[in-house]
Amino acid sequence: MDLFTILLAVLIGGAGAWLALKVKVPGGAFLGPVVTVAAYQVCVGNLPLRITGLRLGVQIAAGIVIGSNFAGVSLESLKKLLKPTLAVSAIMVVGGLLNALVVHYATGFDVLTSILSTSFGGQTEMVLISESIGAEKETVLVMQLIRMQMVLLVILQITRIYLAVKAKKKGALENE
Amino acid sequence: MNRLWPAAAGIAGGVLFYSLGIPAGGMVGALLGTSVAQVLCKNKLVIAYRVKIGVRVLLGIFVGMGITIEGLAKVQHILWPALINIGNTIVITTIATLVLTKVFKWNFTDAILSSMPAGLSEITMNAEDMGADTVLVTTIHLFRFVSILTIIPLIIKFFI
Repeated sequence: MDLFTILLAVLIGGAGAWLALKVKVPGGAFLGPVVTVAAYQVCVGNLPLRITGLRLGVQIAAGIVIGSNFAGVSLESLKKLLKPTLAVSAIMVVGGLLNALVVHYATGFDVLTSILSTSFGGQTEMVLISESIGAEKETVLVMQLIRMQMVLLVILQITRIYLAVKAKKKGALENE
Repeated sequence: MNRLWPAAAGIAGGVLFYSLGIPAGGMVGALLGTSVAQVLCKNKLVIAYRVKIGVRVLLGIFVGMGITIEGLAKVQHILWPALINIGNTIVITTIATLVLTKVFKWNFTDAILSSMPAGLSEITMNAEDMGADTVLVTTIHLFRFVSILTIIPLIIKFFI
């Protein structure tokens, strides 16, 4: 185990995370280190970390962190929301797979890369899966990144504007 | 000690799914184990925000170490696939929103925020800002995550 390489990777990744969070990049805690560590590897040299079980440890940590978000969910609330939850999940899973088919045939991406690039799972998680099965993780990362940023920076903001205009019109009607 | 049961369930699930050869089985198993335990256990595992950030940073470092020049070179022709993906995302979001508003009679704000496939923390913050029901929105998104992160690796393992 190379302690210097570990410290260097943590330093470079930490710097990337700090910068991305400072600039308030959505998903910056993940994206920042990806960019800085990848940039170091491309420009300077590889940072090989041969720690047994690193991949498994990283995956388990990610799964526990996501799963911990269920702290606020109770069986009662699940029962009430079962049908809409299943409906949305089904639309997202099936929609994502159809999306993958379209991308695969229109662009020539391999099937695995198409599925992982277009699935509506977390950006981090899709890249982790692509890393473990040999899909083109750089393509998955960029496709997921573009989708995520587009949803947050465009669709969400349009929705905000629409709701604000709607609220104003409602207020104007009530005042008449 | 009871609060660590969800974490223990996560580790057990992660090891099990990893040994079954499921793609990213460590993550999928840990996610399922922890989330089931969280719903069923009285004492919940609460992970501090800094720890969550720390895990994301470690994930970023891990993924960054796997990025190569050859892989990056393949990304230069991403515009057309990205546009197709964005267009389809808009269609799917619209369909989900329509189902929630027309079939389940949800209000538009809750419906659209529940249908947007973005990061959980970003959507939850915006839901609070926009006066949506954050419990509703969070539950839908958590299930979306769990469904996709479970089903997609299984599809890859058994059908592709």
